[in-house]
Amino acid sequence: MSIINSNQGRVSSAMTADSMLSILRQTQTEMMKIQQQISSGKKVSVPSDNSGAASAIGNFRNLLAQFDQHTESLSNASDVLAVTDSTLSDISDLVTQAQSIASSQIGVTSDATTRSSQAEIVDSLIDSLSQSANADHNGIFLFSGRTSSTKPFTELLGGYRYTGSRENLAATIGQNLPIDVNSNGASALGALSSRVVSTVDLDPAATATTRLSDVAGARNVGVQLGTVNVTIDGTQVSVDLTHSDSLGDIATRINSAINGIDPTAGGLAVSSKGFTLTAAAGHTIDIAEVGAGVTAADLGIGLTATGAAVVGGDVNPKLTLTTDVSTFGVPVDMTSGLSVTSGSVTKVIDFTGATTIQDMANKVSAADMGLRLEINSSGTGLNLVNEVSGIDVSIGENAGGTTASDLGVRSLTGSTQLADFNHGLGVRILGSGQNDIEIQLHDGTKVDVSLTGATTVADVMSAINTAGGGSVTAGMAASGNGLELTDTTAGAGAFTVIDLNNGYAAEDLGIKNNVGAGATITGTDVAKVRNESVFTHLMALRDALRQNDTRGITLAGEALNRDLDTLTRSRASTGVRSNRIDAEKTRTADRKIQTASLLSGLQDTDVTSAITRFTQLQQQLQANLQMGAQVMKLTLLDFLK
Amino acid sequence: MSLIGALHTGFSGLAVNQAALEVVGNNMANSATKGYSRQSAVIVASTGTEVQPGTFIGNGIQLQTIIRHVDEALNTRLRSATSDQQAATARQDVLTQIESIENDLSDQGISNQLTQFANSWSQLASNPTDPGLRTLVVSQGQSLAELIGTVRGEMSSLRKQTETDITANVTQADQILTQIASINQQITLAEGGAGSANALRDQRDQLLSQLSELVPVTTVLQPSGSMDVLVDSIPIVLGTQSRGLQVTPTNESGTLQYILRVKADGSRLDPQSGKIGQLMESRVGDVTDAINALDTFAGNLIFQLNKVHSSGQGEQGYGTLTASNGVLDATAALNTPAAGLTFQPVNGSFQITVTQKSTGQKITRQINVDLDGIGTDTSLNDIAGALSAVPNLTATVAANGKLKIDAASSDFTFSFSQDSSAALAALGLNSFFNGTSAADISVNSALTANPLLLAAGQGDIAGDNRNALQLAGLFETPLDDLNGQTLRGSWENHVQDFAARTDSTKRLVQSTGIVTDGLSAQQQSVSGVNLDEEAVNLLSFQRSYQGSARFISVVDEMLQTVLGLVK
Repeated sequence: MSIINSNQGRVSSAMTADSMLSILRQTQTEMMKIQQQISSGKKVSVPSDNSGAASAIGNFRNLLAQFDQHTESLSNASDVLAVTDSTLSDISDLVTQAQSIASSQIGVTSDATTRSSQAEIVDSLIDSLSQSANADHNGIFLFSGRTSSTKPFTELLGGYRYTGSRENLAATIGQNLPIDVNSNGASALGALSSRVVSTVDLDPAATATTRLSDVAGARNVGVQLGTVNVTIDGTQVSVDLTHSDSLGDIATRINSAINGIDPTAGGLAVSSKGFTLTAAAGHTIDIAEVGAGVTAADLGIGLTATGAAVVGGDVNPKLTLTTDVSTFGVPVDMTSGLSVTSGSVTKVIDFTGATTIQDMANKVSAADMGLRLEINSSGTGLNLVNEVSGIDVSIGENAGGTTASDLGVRSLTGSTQLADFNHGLGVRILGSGQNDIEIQLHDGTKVDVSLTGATTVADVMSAINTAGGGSVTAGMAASGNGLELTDTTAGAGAFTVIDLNNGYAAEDLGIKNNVGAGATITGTDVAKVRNESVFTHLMALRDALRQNDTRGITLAGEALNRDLDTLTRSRASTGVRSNRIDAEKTRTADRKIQTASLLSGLQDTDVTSAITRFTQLQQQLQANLQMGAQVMKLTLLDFLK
Repeated sequence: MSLIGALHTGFSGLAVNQAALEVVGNNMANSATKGYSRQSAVIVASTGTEVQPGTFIGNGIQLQTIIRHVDEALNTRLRSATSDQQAATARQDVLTQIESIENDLSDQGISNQLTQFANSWSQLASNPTDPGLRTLVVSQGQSLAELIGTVRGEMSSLRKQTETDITANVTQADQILTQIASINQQITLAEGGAGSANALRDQRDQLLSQLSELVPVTTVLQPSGSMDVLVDSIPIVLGTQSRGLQVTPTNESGTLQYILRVKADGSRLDPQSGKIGQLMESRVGDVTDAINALDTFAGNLIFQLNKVHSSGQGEQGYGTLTASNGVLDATAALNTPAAGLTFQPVNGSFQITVTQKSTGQKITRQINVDLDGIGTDTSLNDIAGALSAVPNLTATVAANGKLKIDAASSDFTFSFSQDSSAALAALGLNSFFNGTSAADISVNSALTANPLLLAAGQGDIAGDNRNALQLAGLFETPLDDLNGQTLRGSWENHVQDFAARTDSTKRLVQSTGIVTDGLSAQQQSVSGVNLDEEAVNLLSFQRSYQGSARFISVVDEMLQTVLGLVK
């Protein structure tokens, strides 16, 4: 580095020394830097060493740490999945074993004693299943889904209750993509498969405090907030609705804009379906999108009101735990309650005093019947879910009320398939137009009914009502569940229902009865619902074996066969997840190597070039020292004698 | 022409050459003296005596003057370059210290601690049931908070040190001014307007050079020999009077400013270079700027993290909870200056769930936070009222403006969810970090005491990990509040910004150094002593002296001869 002009006229003695010192200093500083680089292995140790690369270095370092963490999370997920796979394999084995017991005990080669002893083996298989289903890895329960810290299956009312969730615990691996870590009893073991799914849309009313995130929107795609144009008697203002939280916020903002122009013009109010725009007499208020916006459309407020009230589109508020039951759009009998039978226990769940859906859910769980009240996925209705496997549940009306029907949670309705009766054994109908049942009335009339072609409960009721011609009517029981026949005739004859032609239809429908002088035959509920879970089917097999019921054994065997398919699918899905995780592990490892090499390129010392440079500097230093010593040694004074 | 006259001619040779030799000797002696300017004896031949019309014989030599070899223009340029170089060096020192305090590329840097903290959330998410991992998250949070606090503390010390440096340097500059004024006086006396007090002038130049390291000065040489010194055309030395320099810490628009003033009349000086000017500039532009960046980052970290954390639930609910941030006026709308919250809530709502432990029964209520600026907006009292309306819950606002929520009995606990208003984070309820800036950031002590309160889950589900997942990804998520920047990105921007500043300042130090070295080489070439040159001078004056002595002896012989004639 030249710091002295080449056209320098004079050179003073001090200058020689100064310039030598300055060059010495520079060389030594640079040598120290290189020494530091070589000994630390890093050419960039503080950001300003290479300010252009500082941010990239920080980024790469962060990525590397993240990759390490991802690898750890992946290993953890992979461990859980491996244990899940082996547990599912254990469960499959025991189901296979139970299934082979079922097939070996169907024929004539077995007898009641053998079956009874086989029942004990099945019983022990149930215990093993309970253990496997409650297995955990490192504190994470394999089959409890998101409630990962809670043991999923507990015994209740003689069955096995599943208290886990339907969704799995997920972890993120790279790029924020979630992958399920554990499984849940509902999908892997069918623990929440009860068939009471409500079809009633409770249609709650919109209120000022209804959150915008809790409405489906007038177009059913949620609400996208933006700006709308409000025109009041020709004066247009744009109203920014972003950062609104509730329906009330929307009304407040628009009304504030309207008031700013003409407080007497009218306003927007929250009404049961969403909004109502009212313009006072002689005024016109128009709300429209700005450009290609969708806010007004989503809120259903793209309206024009001229001297009158206009109701906007239905924003479809969803049910939430805090939804007030008084806002339901359909009448619901909140006082009668549900009559629920779980196994041998019957209780009435009374919703009196419940103000929110959460209160109702609290009342359901307080009954301790292994039931849970869930809001369905679209937020329109309520499902009453049976958590307990192995016992039958019947949900009906209490004391002539309509609660169950109103909520749509009645387990037996007109649309119930006959094939679902008696745990799927169905109703044995003779066919070919033969009469299946005979109803004997008080006046001695015998009404013969053919059920050929009937597939639902409604079909059966209509067949009886048609054949009875008014003297006997069929309907659903007003209290509890089951079919109810009413004799409208008078006389001394006994009101009886019997099977005809060696059939079983009346028995299978649960209405085979003789009530003598009574006018009503209330059928037993033979269409109770149960969870189609591995637990249920093993318990069904055990009970059938104990009762020496070959039809039951066959049915249980078939159900277990289906379970094996489910388990195989579960194992397959576990396998797919494992593969994804393995692939992600490999990818993470690859990316880690790439990133580490990029980081090294930016940050690490290139030892070869550093040492080469060091050698150069060494020579420079040596030359400088020698030159300096020579130059400074020479002085005319030495030559004067 | 007389022989006696010839003796005089010889004598002038002796005397003047001796003086010239002394000057050479002085130069040689001072060849390594800093600030010494080489001197030369200016010797001229004496006016001759007319021996016949039109013919003159010289009368020997005379010493006209002894001059200093200086180039005033060059000195001025050198002083200005020195001011620039010192400014760059001072800034480099400050920036290097900031860089080493932050030490961001090391494992102990904030970036890395942030990564470790995010990873601990990710670890917890992969096994939310592990109590050890909860403790890990809390302690990683503590490390991060402590590191931020330590960096903040060291930055404050750096600012104090810079302030001390400013004061010390101003005192030094003031002393130099006094010395210059005193030398001005001595020069005026010594030279009486015409002489040359070379040593004093050298000293004054030396002092000016020292002064230019501190403040950029311009000089005006007066005919009397004294030199006026000015900063930005405001005189600080006038003749024999120093007007003095002082620094006064002044509160300007809420911030403490260090302002350089002339002692005599208090005029304000804004030196653009020199050590003092740069330190005053760096104190605000670099150190305070870095502190502000750190405070902003810490504030964002606290608020953004708390926003997510406060909407999640731990494995346990709260039995009693006191907000960590109070309001000034519990009746004022929460987002107004009257409420005085550092973090601003927005229009929205949150939910609170009260759980009865013995039955597992839950009651959830939505608490609306109306802050749309239309009609009556929600105050802390309103929130307390709404919370008290929830069965089995009492909320009060204490005298210090902090909200306190209590469950009715030990059988009840409460938890929060779905806060779209950020009111929970603003008030410091169910928060992870307490504090508002880097100076007071700390982990909520409720969490350190009981990590089960760490909100890893959502939806009031024990063993859930969704909040932990969200928090693990928070640092890499573009946030509307940060104009689409991520938390990590905002910190990295700051590091990058200062790296660029440090880097460019290092280059500036080098380039100004080259300029100064070049100028001082030029100055040396004018004013420096070359021993060889002096040796040659020594020889020539010595020979000249010897010649004069020989001449006197010849004249003496001639006199003897002449006197011998008289016998």
